[in-house]
Amino acid sequence: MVELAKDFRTLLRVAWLTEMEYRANFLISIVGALAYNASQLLFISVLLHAFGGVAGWTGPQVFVLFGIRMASHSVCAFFFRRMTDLDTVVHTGEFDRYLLRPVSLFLQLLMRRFNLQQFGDVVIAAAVLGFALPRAAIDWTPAKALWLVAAVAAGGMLEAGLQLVRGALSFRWTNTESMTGLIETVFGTFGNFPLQVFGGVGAVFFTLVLPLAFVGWIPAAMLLGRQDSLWFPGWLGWWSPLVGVGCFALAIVFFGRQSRHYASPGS
Amino acid sequence: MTAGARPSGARGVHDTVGRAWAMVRLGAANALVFRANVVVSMLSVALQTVLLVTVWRAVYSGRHSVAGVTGDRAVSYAVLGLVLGHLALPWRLSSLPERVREGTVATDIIRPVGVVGQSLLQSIGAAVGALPGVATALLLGALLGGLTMPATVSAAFGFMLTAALGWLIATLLNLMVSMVAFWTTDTRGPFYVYRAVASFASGALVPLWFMPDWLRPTLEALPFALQVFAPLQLWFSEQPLGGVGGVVLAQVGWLVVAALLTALVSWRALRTVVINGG
Amino acid sequence: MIEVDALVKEFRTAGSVDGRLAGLRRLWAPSRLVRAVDGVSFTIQRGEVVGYLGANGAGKSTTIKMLTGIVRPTSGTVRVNGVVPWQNRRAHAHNIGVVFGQKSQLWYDLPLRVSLETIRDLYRVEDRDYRARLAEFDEVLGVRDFLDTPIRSLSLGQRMRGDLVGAMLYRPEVLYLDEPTVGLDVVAKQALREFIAAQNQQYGTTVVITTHDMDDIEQLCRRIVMIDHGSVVYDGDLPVLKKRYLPFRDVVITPADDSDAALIRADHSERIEGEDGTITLRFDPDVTTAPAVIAQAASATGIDDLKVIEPDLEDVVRLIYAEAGR
Repeated sequence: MVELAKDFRTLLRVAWLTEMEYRANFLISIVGALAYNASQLLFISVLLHAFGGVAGWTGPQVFVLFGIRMASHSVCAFFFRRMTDLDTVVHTGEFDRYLLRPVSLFLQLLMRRFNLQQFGDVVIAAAVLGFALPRAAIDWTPAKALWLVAAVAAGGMLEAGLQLVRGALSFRWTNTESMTGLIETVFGTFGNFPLQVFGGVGAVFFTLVLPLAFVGWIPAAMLLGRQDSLWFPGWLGWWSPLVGVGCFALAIVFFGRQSRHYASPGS
Repeated sequence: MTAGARPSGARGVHDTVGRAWAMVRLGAANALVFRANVVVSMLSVALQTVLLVTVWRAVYSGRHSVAGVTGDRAVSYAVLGLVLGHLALPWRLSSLPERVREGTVATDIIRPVGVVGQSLLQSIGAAVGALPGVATALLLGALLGGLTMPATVSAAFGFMLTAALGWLIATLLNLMVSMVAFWTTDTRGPFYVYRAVASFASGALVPLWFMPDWLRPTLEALPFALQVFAPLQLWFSEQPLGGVGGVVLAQVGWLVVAALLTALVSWRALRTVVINGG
Repeated sequence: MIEVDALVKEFRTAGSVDGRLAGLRRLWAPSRLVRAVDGVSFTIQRGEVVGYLGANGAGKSTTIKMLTGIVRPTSGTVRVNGVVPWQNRRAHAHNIGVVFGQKSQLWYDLPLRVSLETIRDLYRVEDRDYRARLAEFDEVLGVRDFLDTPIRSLSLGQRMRGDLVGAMLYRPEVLYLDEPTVGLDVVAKQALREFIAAQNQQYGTTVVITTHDMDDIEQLCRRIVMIDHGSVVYDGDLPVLKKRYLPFRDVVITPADDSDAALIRADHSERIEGEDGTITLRFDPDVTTAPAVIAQAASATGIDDLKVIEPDLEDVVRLIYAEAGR
């Protein structure tokens, strides 16, 4: 663990110095992240503006869901953005270098670049939550607040885990680019809805198969006291953060296993 | 290829057609070569179709019409908007940034078709490669009962024409935006901004019908609405800008503007070309 | 130091499809199994410098990638200093240094100094040792001048020197070089070879080098392992290799006068007339010697110029590749 921390510090320094080389891109990247998230915000706002609420949830309630999902996403983006780089790392042969060094493969991927530009995601998420939470009539307790933090962190880990699994497929498949798009689109567009809109089968599907439920719907339902929307007993929802952590751990193991199939490009 | 049977006087034309055809095939091959990718992108489109239909049905549950739009129409719009958006705003805006990064753009400049021409032809190829996804979306949409057909032949015709022109505007703008790759190595930021603005303003995400009144005029004044929203209005027999003629006129105007801008940007870009890795 | 036994690597590649709608039909074309390395075995002792040769596509790079632990073999075993590369990756990483001519292992956007410091920290090299080694390497390679230049701005020769310093900073027991001199100028090549030879002599570093530059081999290697179509076709001493494929030596004579040419001959040697008026006497060094051939030829007539030609490794390699049916 001490060794891992030392490697982390060393790689952090390189990542930071690399980031400083790209200072010019920094601002525009923040603006990019802001714009991307703003378009989702607009999408939700327009929908709520025209329809008032969705599937029995009021506008403010949907906004809380949206804010939690954004916050989860910004955790993923801020800490684990590099998971989406894995296919590039594999196809360019950069992974050669990782294998040659006496440092954890996962750590090297994680620290490939510094993630400062993802600050835009954090800002938007904070703004949305700051707007939505006071308007949603939640009876706060310290435990609930702590639980929300855990749920958001776990949601970020879940998304990161999915991206890592997707990236790890590129050890065997030639191209997984469209799957990055799929995950981003499904999470970005449909993760913002209370999932009961997809009907019973859809809600089960998004809980067990493509675990979208854990990045917004379940945490929001628990926080808002809308356990009635869930398809499983409400008390189970309090344990939902474990799913994100578990998925992430499994994803790291999967990544390690798949890396055995690495066929370095070029001759 | 039938062009092969031309008399020798048409040799030059034949060569040009041959080259253009080669570029289109290259673009399509690039999209199709990764079979996993094709399967995944079809699955992705299929999933999105199902989800969109479900979401819009659910949003409409118990309501007949909102902002003067019926549920059936909103569902149809969502499926068609997905298809048009899928074509107009592909995951890879153009092949240009990749070629700049890998330095192969240097050889492209020497080739006879020209950098802009090559990129456009490859985009046509990529659109051909996206057709399996389009077919999937339309088929699923129809199966789920989420696809109403145009009321008249002229509506269908107007849609086809304006959708094609709209695609051309989008492709030119995509190419123009992707030229930022000549100036910066990290293109993600600008691309996200563009993608966000384009997908929102075109009506691919939400029909402009539902936009607040203060926002809609601005969005309709932008070229993006002509890519998805206007063609779909014609599909549903609405008459934006006084009908097909008005839309086509606006599209041609924007095409000229987009072409001029693209020419200007590419002229600047190629002057300051920095070849990476050389 | 390095034990390789019955190493096999198979790749699956998409089947090729030509003609109409090739791109579309490729979607369901069956894939093909390619055997890049087919049962390679050899053992390298500590302190050896071995040239690993083969034509393009012979399986060289794939072997090196398996030895370094980048790629896992389909079957067979590798042990480097007792460690199986893909089973104990980190221990193995400390044992080996790797330089790829085509691809830098350093941080592309950052100054060389930062890359070297990072390697120092990742490999837990004491700062005192780091300074001493950097000074030592600098004497041969002269890297100090560009320590503060980003890798992306270095010339190829500078980059290779930087990569070499990076690979040797933690004193690995084995150094792998994959086409290290490709594209370098004469001076840079010489500096690289000197450095490699010095490391081998002073610290007993085991070196495995793949190259298409036969001067690298002639100057550095005592032993050659040659591979073709994924199998070892020769493993042994460099002189023996030359002897096996080019057993003759040539004495090329330019006679003083064209009319004297007919008189030039020697016992135990074949006489070949060149188109430019030169006479080549080809002999087997086991049967007669160069001085004997020259003395006999010179006794008959006047000679303008005379050369003794040693067999060239490049000719040997060409012969072997040709034999293998290329």
